[in-house]
Amino acid sequence: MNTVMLVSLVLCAAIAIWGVVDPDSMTGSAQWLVNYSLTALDWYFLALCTSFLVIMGYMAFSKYGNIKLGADDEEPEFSTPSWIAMLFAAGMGSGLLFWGVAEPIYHFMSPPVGEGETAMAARNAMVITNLHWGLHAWSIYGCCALTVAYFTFRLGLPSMVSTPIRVGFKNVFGPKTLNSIGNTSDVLAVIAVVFGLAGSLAMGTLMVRSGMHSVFGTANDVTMSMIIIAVMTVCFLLSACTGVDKGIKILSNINMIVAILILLVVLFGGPTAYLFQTFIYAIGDYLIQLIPMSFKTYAYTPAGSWNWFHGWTLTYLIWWLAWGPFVGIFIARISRGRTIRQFVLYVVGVPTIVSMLWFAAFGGAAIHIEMFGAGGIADKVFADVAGALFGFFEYFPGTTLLNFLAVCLIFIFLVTSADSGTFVISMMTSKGDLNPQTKLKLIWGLIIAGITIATIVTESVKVAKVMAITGAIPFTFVIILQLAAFFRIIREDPIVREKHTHVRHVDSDSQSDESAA
Amino acid sequence: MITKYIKQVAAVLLCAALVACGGDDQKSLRVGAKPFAESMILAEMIAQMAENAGISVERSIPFGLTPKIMEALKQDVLDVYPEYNGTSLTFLGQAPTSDGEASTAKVSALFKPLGLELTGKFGFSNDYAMVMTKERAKDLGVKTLQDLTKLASVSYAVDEDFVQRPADGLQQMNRRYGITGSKTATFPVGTEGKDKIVSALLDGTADVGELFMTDGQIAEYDLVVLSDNLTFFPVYEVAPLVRSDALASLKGLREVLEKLAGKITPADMQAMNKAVDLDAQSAATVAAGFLSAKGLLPEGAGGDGAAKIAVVADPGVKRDTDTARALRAIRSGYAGSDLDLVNDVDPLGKLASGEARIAIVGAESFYSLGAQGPVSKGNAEAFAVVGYKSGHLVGVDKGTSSLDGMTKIATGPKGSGASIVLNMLLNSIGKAGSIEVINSDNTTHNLLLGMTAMGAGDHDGVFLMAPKKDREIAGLMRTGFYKLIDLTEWAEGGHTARFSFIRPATIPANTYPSQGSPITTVSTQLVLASPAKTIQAAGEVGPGTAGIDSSAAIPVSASAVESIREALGMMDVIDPAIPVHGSLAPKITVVDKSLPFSADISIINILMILFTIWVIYLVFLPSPRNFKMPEDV
Repeated sequence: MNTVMLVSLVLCAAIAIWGVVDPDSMTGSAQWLVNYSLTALDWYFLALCTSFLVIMGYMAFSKYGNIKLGADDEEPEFSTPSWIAMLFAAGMGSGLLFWGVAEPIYHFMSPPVGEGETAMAARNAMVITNLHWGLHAWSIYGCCALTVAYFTFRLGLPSMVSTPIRVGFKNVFGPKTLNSIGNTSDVLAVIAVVFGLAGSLAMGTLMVRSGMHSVFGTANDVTMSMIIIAVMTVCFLLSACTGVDKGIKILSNINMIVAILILLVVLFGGPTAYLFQTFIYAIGDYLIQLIPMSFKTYAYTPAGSWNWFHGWTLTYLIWWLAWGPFVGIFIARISRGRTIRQFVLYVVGVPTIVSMLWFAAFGGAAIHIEMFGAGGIADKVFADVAGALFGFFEYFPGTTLLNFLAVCLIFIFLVTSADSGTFVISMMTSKGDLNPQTKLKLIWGLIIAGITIATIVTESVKVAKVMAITGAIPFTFVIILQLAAFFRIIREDPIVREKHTHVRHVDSDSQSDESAA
Repeated sequence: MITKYIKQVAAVLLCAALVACGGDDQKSLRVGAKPFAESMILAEMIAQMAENAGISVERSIPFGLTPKIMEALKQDVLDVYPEYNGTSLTFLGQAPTSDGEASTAKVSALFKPLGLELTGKFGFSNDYAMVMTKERAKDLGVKTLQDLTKLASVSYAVDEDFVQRPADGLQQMNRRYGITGSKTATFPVGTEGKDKIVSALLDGTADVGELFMTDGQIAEYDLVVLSDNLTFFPVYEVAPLVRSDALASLKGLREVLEKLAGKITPADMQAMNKAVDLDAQSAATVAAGFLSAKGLLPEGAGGDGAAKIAVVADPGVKRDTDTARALRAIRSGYAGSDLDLVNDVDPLGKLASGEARIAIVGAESFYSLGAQGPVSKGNAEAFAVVGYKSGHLVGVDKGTSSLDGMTKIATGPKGSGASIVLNMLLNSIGKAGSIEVINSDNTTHNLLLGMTAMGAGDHDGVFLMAPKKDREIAGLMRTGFYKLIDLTEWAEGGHTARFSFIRPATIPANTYPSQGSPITTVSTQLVLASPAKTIQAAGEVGPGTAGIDSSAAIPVSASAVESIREALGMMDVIDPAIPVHGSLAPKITVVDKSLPFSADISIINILMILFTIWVIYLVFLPSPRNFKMPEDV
């Protein structure tokens, strides 16, 4: 057992026990860390995430865009539709279902500036929502993924969070310093993923429960949660045993089909032309507002809007950062054989467009109901965010079918998240093995299921939520160092520097084939 | 792969399209209603019966007042709504009559060319009712409308519509009966107006009020309907007014409507109106309950499944016009959801545990009594004022006339406003040891009767928190056996400063029968309360706060607060001693004269900037010569 595995296990156990024994003091400390960081450094987080977007743009549209994540003649490992399906399943998953109706309605009813329930508020609601779920979110993932993908598939090095740092700075720091920075980064990444995942699973379980309650009338109690977790654990362990190219891929494809189906019903079973109007309008507004919103720190508005800025925009950015190590490594894993330009366009561009369409359909229809229709959606959202989606479906044909599909979709999303999460943790704790041992995956799977169960039994959903984002704060430093190392190495890539003719990736490629075998 | 995708998507799309189009081959029944309880309940009955018979229904409940809804029916926007034959006649330019059969025959004949039809009457008539309180009617010796001529002056409380009606309004009634000399107070049309009319009768500012015969308040407040002995008022019998083409094209519709004919008695309708207007249930629930009780619908069919919003009140809060008004306002804040009002000894506790959404409580419930005086509980916030309650210390007429002479005081159950206030009073003036408080579940009436029957044996006084001019207390005061006792001890000490939420107050002289002088007492505000906000993961808003924790108390949202307050209309400012809901607190910007500075934040910013500069510097250092992984140390 290696150092990273050992330290991660001990720390996870310690934090989990703290959370179960004294949830109040634990959430208190975590909350303090998050709130304090936001109060002191909100400008830094916003600038950092915006610069991720700039870096992504630079990577795609400069000479770096031609570099292939793999050998120069390598073909992509997964087909493009499967690749996109897996991107979505890992990156946002049930979040889109959870917030599709609720978020635009929140901003429409009580916008950060200006008056609610007006046409202006509706426009801004779509801009804000797209800011939270669009280019910024996927650029964060993109940066995390690109560094790892480059080192793994271009240079044939282990797929670890610390690899770029260990390699990129080896002539800057002494071996001992470098090793401790590397190990710390790996442990931080493992912890961020374990708790981020457990938190999301706990919240997702509650949403499935709430959905089943409104669809099948099942009980809304702890026993039901346990049944859901048990079924989910069995499913994701089964899927985990099969490897990425089977379990996760199949589940992600099913997910994408069901999600497209729900989207189509909403698009064409509602005010279709209006929803496309919303979509087109939102694209324009988003493009115009992208630059101002990327830098908007609400410095000149009353202190109350800082609350809003911290509670919404920054919380989202930090959520994406918290998921960064997990989604990053996973996206890296499935992006083998793509050029950097393709990578950026598909990882940042396509999901942004799709999620804009998603929010235009769900949010647009909800706003239509509030502005021109019978109303009542806002009350449902404010009363119970988890149930808002199911309330929303009542306005559509085939409510029961939609509810059923949504519950299935959330459930499969949970399974895929858990599956890809355990996969990533196993990679990180096995020195970057691209196809980690099943035994290891089972161990981490059970640990995550255990933490989720503990969260639900002690009814400390608060703990789960706090845990899901706290890990992001220390991890921010890791991402910054990773990117710096990435720049130090990529400028030496043969494609960029034609005069270096020795082809490093040939021998590294055979190396990665060996480890895959 | 792609073709497989397309096949799968197409297959499921086809299913979805089938589901989407399923409902459209048959026309659906468009049911409308006028915007008041009775019309909405009857429309719901039609809708639910039709649904049960397999007819799909589109509801426009409520739709609009008579001119609008009748036009909508003519223009084929609606198919059916409940209409009154008297009203129809008026709108068809005819004089309404007091003969129901003739009226219906005439209306049917006039509607026929328009393609409209009246089907079987529901069985009751909602005529105008001139009402008085039982006491007032007895005092003045009035039983019929004709008896009003005996009075020198009659003061009316009526709604605006009644004053303006050309054929059957107030002026014509006065002329028909020869009533001279009247004062008239007018109120807006609708439930709120009817409430105010009843309030005017109850507090004595008007003698005679105008209601509809099926108004739930007639039974609730035991009002006397003056008999229309000269049959001045036309009849207003209700029947579904339906488009003939809908009757022809929708199979089974006529049977559905005929099934409802003659099923509803005036008493049934009064009870159902009361359930909607006073108990804040939804028209759909009330209609479904009635239909299944009559065996017209299977149990549980129709308007079930709607989540109830739990409202909790302390055991001292009775159903009266104030709570009815508050409940209706709450219902409008929650998009017409059903409400469930329960009394509980610890209403704010129920709120904090998430078992209830809104509490109706007095200011005293926000505090508990600590060693050093009142301690704010901090678990709830008020967002609207619904009334006031004053302390009433009632003693026997021949007994002691001050608090000093008492040893035992009875009051409401533990946790009720009266019990809390009395304990605080006695503690504060140092009489907690010498005066025994008896908590009783008995009603006011029984408590006071107990006092006289036992000849002051059981207790010396009864302490109650009640609105000024409480009818029950007034009724007992009329007997002459009781008197109200001053709380001068409270007013004189420094107690009012410590218990700022218990305000000194005076009950003016002659508020109650045989109360000659003003009474010094206390009063507290009756407010609507929401659970206090609990601090959440990240900030106060945003995704981190999303309430998936179903067991936790959810504060009433700012928008719900706004619509509840709007529905309540003009109200007093919430007592500053009560914690106020966040959305109502004035937004204060603190002006700091010096520039705000905090060393730790400055240092963290410096460190972060240095870190960033250092990392950028690292980027520009020369790259390593080979890209192999360093050996493990």
